[in-house]
Amino acid sequence: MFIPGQIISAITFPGIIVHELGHELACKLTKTPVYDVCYFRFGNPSGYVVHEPNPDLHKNMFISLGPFFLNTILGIILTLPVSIKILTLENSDALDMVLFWLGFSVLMHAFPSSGDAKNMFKTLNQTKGHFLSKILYYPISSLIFVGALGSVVWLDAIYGAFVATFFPELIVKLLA
Amino acid sequence: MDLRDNSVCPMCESPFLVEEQYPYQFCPSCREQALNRPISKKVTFFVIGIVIFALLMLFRLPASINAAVQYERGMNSAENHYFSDATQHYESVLKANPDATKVLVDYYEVQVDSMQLTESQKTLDQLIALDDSPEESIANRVNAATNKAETYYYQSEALLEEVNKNANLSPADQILKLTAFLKTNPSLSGTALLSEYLYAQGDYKAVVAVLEPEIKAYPDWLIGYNNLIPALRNLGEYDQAKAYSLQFIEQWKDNTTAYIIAAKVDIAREDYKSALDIALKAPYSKLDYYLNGTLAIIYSQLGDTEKQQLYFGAFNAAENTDQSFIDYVNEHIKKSN
Repeated sequence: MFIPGQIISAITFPGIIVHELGHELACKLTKTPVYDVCYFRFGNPSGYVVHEPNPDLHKNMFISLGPFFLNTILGIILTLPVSIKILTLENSDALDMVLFWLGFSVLMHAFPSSGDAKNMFKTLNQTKGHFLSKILYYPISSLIFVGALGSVVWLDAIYGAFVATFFPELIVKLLA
Repeated sequence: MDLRDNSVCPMCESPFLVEEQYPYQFCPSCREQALNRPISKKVTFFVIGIVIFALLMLFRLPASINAAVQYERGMNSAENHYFSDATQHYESVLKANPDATKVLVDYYEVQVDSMQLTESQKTLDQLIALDDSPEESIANRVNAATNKAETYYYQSEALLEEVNKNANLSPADQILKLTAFLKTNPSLSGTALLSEYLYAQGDYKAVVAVLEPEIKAYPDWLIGYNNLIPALRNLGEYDQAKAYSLQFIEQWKDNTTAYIIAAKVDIAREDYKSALDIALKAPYSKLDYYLNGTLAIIYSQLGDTEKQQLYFGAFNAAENTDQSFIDYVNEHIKKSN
């Protein structure tokens, strides 16, 4: 089923806002100047952060990967109790569904966009850094790039669904 | 805009001193401004909203995890036939989630499996009140459990009528009448009742003849074991009685009664070590006078006076109304002394 990306973006807009915020917060933490931010819009891309490239490779990677960590952690916190209720007990109310949508939206936009992935490669090629660091970052960036491209085949949604269901299952199985 | 090639600051369009160390050529004041760029108020409110939700979720997390863990444990216990344990876990989940249909169905099934018939009826009423048009899979499970309860335990109106009609007859005539009735109206609850009559008359062979085929056909018909095993024990068929005792325990692994019945088989054949082995596997409660009495007997026969006194004390302290069991315990303990 083909659903235009803009409709998906509109439905899952909280995730996009958190994603861009992730970039912005990472810029603030690494003291990188931010020149423009769009948290959400109907267009492509749905949001962006224009910032100066940081001369430090690790900081640059941190800025690119910021949303991945922020969205994943926040998404887990938001979905965990609700997922447990919905998936394990099959018992939910309207508030649970709203919270699940919120958490799932946040998780779905954890993966850096294809623009972010391209920037990561650009950073890796242009920024000076230790050889070993680059060796470490290339596979990560490639994975992220594949993830970003994979949104065409719903990979971002699959990631969101996986995290939203896997962690509750894992925690319950470990504690039971 | 190409941020690298402008000769003026691309933000304020003023000429500026080129700062070579930066990749983008902004003037120092614009750079400073960009560095301290505040997060928009709308987004700040949005983030505060999300944080409130996250805190709310974190607050609910322990209760959610606890419910799910209890539920998982309940399912594992039920699957392994620890029905009493499963019941406790499901009750704990339902305390926090009283309208969780799936849990109520599991609870109902376990109640039927462990013969908690009055409680199971309440759960069924709750299920019906909660959802009068449930999903097919839920409806099928509830119907299967209800059918099991009706087939195994509920006495039909016709049976009750027959029993009441014959209430004033002699025990032998009551047995004859009920046997004849069951030929045309066979039912497990009727068979259980007949076995009670026969057991009370001391016709243990007839009890075995009536119950054994049914237990073979329905190994999870728990009420049948209650008379079959004592009947075999009284006939001196200890191995068979023990085999059925173990089968009874397999059907409901945390049922104290099943362990006591098995231990009593070993007591009857004076294999007290084996009786102790099986009795110690029963879930212990200080208030369970059957178990404490049985343990007191076993320890008295094994010559362990200290433990005999300990369990006999608990047996005496527990609220004890079963005179035949009090006599059984006293008789065995006196015998050993």
